[in-house]
Amino acid sequence: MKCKFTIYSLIEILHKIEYLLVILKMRLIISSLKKYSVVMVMITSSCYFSYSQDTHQNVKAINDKCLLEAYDLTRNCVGFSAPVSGRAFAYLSVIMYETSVPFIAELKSVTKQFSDFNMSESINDDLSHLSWELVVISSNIKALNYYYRNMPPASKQRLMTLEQQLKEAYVTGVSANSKLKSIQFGEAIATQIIDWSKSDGGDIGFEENFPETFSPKECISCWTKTTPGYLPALLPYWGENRTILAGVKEVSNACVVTEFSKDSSSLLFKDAMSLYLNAKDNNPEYETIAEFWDDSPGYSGTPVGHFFMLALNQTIVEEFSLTESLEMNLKMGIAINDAIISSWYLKYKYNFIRPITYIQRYIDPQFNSRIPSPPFPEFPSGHSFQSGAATTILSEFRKSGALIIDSTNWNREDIIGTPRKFDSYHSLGEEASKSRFYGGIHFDETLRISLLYGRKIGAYVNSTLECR
Amino acid sequence: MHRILLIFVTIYSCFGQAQSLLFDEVGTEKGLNYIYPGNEFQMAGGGVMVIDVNNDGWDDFFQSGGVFNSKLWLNAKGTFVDATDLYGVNALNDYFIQGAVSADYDNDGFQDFIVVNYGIGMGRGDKFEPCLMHNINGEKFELISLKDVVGPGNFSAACWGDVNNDGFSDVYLTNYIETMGGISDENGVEIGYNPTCFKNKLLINVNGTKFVEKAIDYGVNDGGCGLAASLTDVDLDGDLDLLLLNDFGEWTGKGNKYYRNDFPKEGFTDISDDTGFNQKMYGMGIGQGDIDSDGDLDYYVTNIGENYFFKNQNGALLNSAKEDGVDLTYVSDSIRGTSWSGLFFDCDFDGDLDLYVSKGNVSTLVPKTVIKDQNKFFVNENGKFIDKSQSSGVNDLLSHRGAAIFDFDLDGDLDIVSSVVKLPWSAYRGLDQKLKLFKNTMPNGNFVAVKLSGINNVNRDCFGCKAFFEQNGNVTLKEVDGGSGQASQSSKTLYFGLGDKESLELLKVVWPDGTVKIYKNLKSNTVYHMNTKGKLKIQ
Repeated sequence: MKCKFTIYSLIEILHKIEYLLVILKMRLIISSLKKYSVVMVMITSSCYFSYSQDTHQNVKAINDKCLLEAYDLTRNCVGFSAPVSGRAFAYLSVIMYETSVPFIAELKSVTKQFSDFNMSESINDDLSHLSWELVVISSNIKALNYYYRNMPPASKQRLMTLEQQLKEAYVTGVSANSKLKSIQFGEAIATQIIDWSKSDGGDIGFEENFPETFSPKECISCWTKTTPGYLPALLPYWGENRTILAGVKEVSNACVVTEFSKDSSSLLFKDAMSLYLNAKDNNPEYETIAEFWDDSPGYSGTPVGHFFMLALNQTIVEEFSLTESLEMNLKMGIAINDAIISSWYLKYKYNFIRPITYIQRYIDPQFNSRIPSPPFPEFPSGHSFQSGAATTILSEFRKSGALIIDSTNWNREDIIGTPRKFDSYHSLGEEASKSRFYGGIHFDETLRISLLYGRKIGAYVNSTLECR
Repeated sequence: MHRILLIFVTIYSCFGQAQSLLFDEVGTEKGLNYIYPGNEFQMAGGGVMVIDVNNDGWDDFFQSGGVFNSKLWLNAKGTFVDATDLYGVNALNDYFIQGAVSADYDNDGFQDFIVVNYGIGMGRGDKFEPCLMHNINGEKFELISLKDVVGPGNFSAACWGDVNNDGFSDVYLTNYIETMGGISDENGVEIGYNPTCFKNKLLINVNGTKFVEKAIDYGVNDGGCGLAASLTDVDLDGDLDLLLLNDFGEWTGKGNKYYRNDFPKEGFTDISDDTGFNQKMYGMGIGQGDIDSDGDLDYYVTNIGENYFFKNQNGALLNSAKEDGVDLTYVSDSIRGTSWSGLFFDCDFDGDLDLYVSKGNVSTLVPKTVIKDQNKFFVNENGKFIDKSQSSGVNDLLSHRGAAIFDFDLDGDLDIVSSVVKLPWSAYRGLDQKLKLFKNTMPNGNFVAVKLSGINNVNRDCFGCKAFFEQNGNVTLKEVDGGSGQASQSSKTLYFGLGDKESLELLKVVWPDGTVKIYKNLKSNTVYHMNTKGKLKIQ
């Protein structure tokens, strides 16, 4: 057993190193090292079979790999705007959690707490002959294949390769019958959650980012299409989607837009002027922060992917157990998804003007924002809603006071992606939110209110969802 | 029984003899498997530049990727290989490349190219400058930044030409929007645009050693949000004039420009108003061809809405797009379409020029445009353009941009490469949003093809050379393409269709230095390489 312990520790270490080296573009080195480690697993795993700490680590490693894959898929699949990405990550984290719940005594299924959903009892079969790893692999892959079903061929091939590699790594010593049952078990859990998710209103969101049937209302305070792309309204019906956790939308009932006014003494005008003056300030730090948190689709896996990478980093740095990791990702996924739905509901309720339009009308006709204005109404800030929600969850699970280093954009060459450091998730959330002001796409008051309600949603999810 | 037979005959007559398409889309089959690796909305990007990077006689091409990385496709005898990394073109990764055009700027016998680079205001870092890609012995490219020559801008297109007839190719860069304001009515309804524009640049080539920016000196520092340009000898006076298309002309008040080259004086004169070229429109792309075989070049100018077909009559440019049925103003009812690259070429080598128009939606504030905006193809039959789009095989629903013409498989007919940008419209659901290669499948007549080049390290590109093809009493002029369509460039080989004739009666080549060479009875289906000393049959 000592031998086995040593080998699995090696794998574990390599996984950890990989996460750190991904940002240093050294995946090739690690993958070659891991080939040898996989061989070692195949040799030794036949002599051991139980839900040991090692198995826990294996399952966490599988989940982490699948989260990285989801990040990559988010960047490469057409139509994965932030709301669509948030939904995919949320259901993936639910599936990861529910798939492992039967194997972890201290966790309980949360599906009874979801809106209109209850996991079938039939899946609570005898687990003794199942391979937990294979259960998790099959459910995760099924989830990725479904939520990113429009993936391009190269991504499809990559996902197939991942599935094959994972299965090969953990199949040795598992009987054919057990393998079959494990796969069926994992897929059954994923299928139930996928089937339930289909009725939330966002199932074909990636294909319907810009429904041609929607015509935005026109008025003096209304949002209108903006330069440079003049895109129509993004996902105007997304706010009508079902939240995963009931009652989330009500948390932001009191979130009310700033009164519209073009009077120079009004709060809105002052906010607009403040943004305008900031945009004229050549301090490069503003641009750096604006671009670091821009998280445009296709570049960093959207803001949702960005926060899941932060979470992944936290589980590694703070040596999270599988249980802790599952619980945090579950809560964060749900909090982000439901925060985005809530913010989208309010966006199209208030249909508020973007700063670029306001400033061009009342301050400077030639004003352009540092980053392109997103194609949907300004209030509230969806970015701040989800940042507030995510950082609240991350804070709750944080174990130490170690410096938080955000290396998500380290390997991007189109912006200054130098890792940014924070002493708390609170301050990280503040910067993420403020970045939209520096970018010139949100009024300051909007961001203040939005971050506040995002945090309320995070706190609501954290306190309401009972995992133990 | 008779009724059943009649129905069968009717069905058979409708479907049994299915008409074959004029072109087959063979991109994937020929190795063009690049699917833009992201879900970013692509407003622009997509110029296509044909270039023979290694002088093997097989035209390669460069695909501008816009927000995505661009690609260099090497032609391996009719199949394409991604040579972006091999040739060092990956140095352009993370630039926002709108288009590219090639020339042998240092007259060393290898084609270099310049990329026009967009990006200011896009939130994509600071790589805004145009770049010159210097070809080293046909083996790789080195990136030479032109930041110090022109400074940053939102460059949208470029065209090469030897504007001062010194034997070294110069390049004109169109510079696009600097800031974009909107115009709204008192109710907050957006009704128009209020852009400001960067000034265009003219880079004069100093003996192949460096470029000097001289747009102001030459009087072509236009600031009308240029989106396309062509250096071409409109008035046949032996120097290259400049035709410039400006976007948002309706709102900026700045129309298209016809700048007459006043060589030997260093400068141009704006004669747009006098010649009828000064349309205030959404100028998108320009294509040229001697459509009426009268020995001068005519021009097709694309737009959001009504396209223009300027026929050259002694230097005056008269629009006949509506008369010729190629204005393409509306796609459905009163909703406009968006045209990008309108290119003339002889698709069946019957001796006259046909027309391909790449089309594709771009989201606008105004005017309203259709999303399902299919490419158009017109076959010239006895001087009339017949709309063959439905049977052409090129009329997909996707959003096309730049395009170029070349014979990629050297099978003796001309093919089309047409780029596609990636848009998130549900109308494109399930469609393959990637560059298209349309292979010509028509029965073709005979042809003669000519490659022109200077000698002794002078004017290798032969921009400004004129080839007059004389056949059946007609004289058809062709120029080497220094940049056309929307930020694109077609093959530099000049093709002329002979129909069923076995030879070309006469070819007259006029070189920029005044040298005239005449060739008679050129054998058909042959590519000739010609320089000021004579001709060399190469295939």
